[in-house]
Amino acid sequence: MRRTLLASLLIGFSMIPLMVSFAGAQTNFYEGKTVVLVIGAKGAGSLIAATQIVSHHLGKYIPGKPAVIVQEMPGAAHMLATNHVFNVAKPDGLTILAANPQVAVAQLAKVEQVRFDVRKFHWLGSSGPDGVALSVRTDLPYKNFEDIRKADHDLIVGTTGPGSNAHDFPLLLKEFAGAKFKLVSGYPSNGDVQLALQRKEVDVWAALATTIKLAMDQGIVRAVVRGRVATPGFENLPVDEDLATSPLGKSIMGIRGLPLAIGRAFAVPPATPADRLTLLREALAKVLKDPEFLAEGKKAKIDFQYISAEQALKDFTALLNQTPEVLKEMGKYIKLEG
Amino acid sequence: MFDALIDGLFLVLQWKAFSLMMVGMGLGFVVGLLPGIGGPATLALMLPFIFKMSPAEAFAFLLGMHSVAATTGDITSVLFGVPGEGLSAATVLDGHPMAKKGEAGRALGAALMSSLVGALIGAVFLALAVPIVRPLVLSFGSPELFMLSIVGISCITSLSGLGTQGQIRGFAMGLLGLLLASIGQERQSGSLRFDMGLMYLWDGLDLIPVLVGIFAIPEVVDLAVRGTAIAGDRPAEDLQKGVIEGIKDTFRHFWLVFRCSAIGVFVGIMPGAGGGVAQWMAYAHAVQSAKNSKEREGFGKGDIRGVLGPGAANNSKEGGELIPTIAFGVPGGGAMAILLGGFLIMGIVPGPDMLTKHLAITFSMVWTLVISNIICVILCLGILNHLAKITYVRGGLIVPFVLFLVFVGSYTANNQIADLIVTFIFGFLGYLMVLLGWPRPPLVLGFVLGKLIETYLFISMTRYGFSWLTHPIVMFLILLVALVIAYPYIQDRRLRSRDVADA
Repeated sequence: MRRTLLASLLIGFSMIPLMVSFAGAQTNFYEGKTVVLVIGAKGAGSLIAATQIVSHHLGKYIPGKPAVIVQEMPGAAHMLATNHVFNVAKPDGLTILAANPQVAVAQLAKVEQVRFDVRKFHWLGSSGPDGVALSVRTDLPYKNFEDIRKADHDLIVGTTGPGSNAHDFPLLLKEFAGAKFKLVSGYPSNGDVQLALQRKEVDVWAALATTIKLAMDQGIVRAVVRGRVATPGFENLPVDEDLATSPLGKSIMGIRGLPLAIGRAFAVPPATPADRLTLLREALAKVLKDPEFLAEGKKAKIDFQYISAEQALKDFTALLNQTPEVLKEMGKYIKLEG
Repeated sequence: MFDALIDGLFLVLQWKAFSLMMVGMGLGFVVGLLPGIGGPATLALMLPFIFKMSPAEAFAFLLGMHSVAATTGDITSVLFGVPGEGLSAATVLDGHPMAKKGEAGRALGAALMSSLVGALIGAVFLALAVPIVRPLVLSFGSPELFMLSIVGISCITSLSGLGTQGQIRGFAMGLLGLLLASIGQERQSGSLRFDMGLMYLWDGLDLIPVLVGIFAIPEVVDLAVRGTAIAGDRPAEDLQKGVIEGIKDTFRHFWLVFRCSAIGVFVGIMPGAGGGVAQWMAYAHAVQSAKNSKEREGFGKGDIRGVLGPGAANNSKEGGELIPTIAFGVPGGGAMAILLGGFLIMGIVPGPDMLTKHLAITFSMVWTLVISNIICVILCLGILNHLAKITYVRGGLIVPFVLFLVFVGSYTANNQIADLIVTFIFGFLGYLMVLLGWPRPPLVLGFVLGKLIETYLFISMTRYGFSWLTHPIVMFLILLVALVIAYPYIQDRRLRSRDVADA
């Protein structure tokens, strides 16, 4: 017994230099290097702002304190950047994808240009889910969704085009929940729709709840319906899936809402060494608890909430696990955005 | 409002904000000289540095950098014929031919001084417009923005050559521009057009590689073929005198500079109109100022007014673009979109409060544009002589350097190799156009405005049916379009009769 204990201790102590050298190797690996967060968008937007804030803090939690920068690689609704990180970027732990989980819908829809598999990415976790909400101009008499159902004419919904929250969310409410909507699509951005609301060109607008909240604060709109993810302040609104009048509608709304529940996820290419993957996952988890980071998020009015890598992968797997019938029906309503 | 104006000035003049503005200006100066890497790319790179700054400091830093990059962008446009800023290509049209004629100093002096005057006039306009800007912007809905884009495209008549053949060629190139703008995913239904199975084309062609290719490559080829310096084998001009002459030109044609500045502010203020078109409208307006057919034919071959008009609009639109960005959250251009990202990080919510409660911050941005332009122009004037000397350096030494700048500039548009391929393709197209005498500006105008025209026409029809045609502003703009289209013909007849009288 004593001999076994002694042997265990000896083996244990002999591992210490190995562990130290392992940690040292990782410290040395990242020291003086630059980690690049690749994002498939450019310009303004809460995803870019959230990624900038994460990049500002990530480096200090990775051993060796590497510099962390954001590289914008816009194109094809984030698919260019996703393809790039999956296929081209070296799996060395220096390139991280700041993903838009909607790309999984492209994979689900078997879009020809998809050259990735979201289930094979190594996910680091997510910096929080995105809630979506539908709102109506405050000068109109529609106080809740029931009023919209009973409206004597179609309300004009301004959208940024198929594939966007602004378009798909009201479209599904129109098709499966009896909302009296006429969709006017093609506005270049959500800012343009908001402007159209102010000049009374459109009546209804759907977007990320954080964006709607800013317009609510200015008295432009009132929110009436939300998606599955409850952003603080929107908890008491009815959920779109509960308003659906058919099981099919409910499932399609559910599929559409899943990427939003995953939110602002980060991933590294397949074949990234396991030790670096662990370091990056731990670093992201620590960033999400950093008080300074959270203060910057609060200032930017972005709600951060840590979602683990396991949870992100579980949600992606669930999203891709659909029956052919549901997929066929879904294809009629949900398209990709460019 | 006056208090806010003064408070805004003091916000910029605080030592920290002022120092950061100077740092931003230094960076902007360097990147402004690199074609294509204009304001937007640099702003995006600098965003991480603003976390620890106050809003006034952050915007002094970012806007100082952006406005200087916009101003110095004209330098490469004149010297090498390479658009320094993606959207400032109009300066190339007459600026570079002047450099080829050995008048680089004069062209640079005029470009910089008109930029400064444009920035000042733009700032004054903005300050005066603050009380009415909200109702003004809100009165321009999708139908009005559609018609405004049509006014822009009608400028093709002035950007094309005289006579039937010139006009036909101009319109043909305009149509080609519209066609090129339709590449990519259509906004209304999400369907893909002319994408050739390439994801790169899903978002359409990027303006920067197209502009750099179409304007810069033909100049590089020309320089390589000639084998001489940019200014040919001419004896060196008196550069100092040339720069002063350019400055004087700005004031000789002050009324034109004033009008072009006003065009820049107005187009910049309109959300969604796209500030990129301001320079071309200003250039077209400058062309319309020709007094006789000989003068008219001189545009594109090195007329100083072709430098002054776009130069003035270039910087006045920067101020104008601030308005839709800060008051409505609709960025007027690429740089303003990045700035909007800066707003998010700083916790500033774009909205009417920026024109009332936070007016001082808004004015601090306008002041930044003004002060940074004044400092930049004064510093630049000191070194213009040396820069202009580049036009007398042997072509063989210049070509590799310019090619390097061209490809770095193109690549930074989206960080993709495909950007370089687009530059090559449009370079070849641009060279053919120059060789065969087909005008390039109408193509650019069609390309810039194509998406706007389609978007706003579709929205107008879906939302209003045909009733939008009866909107008062739409009716006024229809008349304006008729006038803009007819003007060159009226001008042509008038010029001919004047020519006959002169003879």
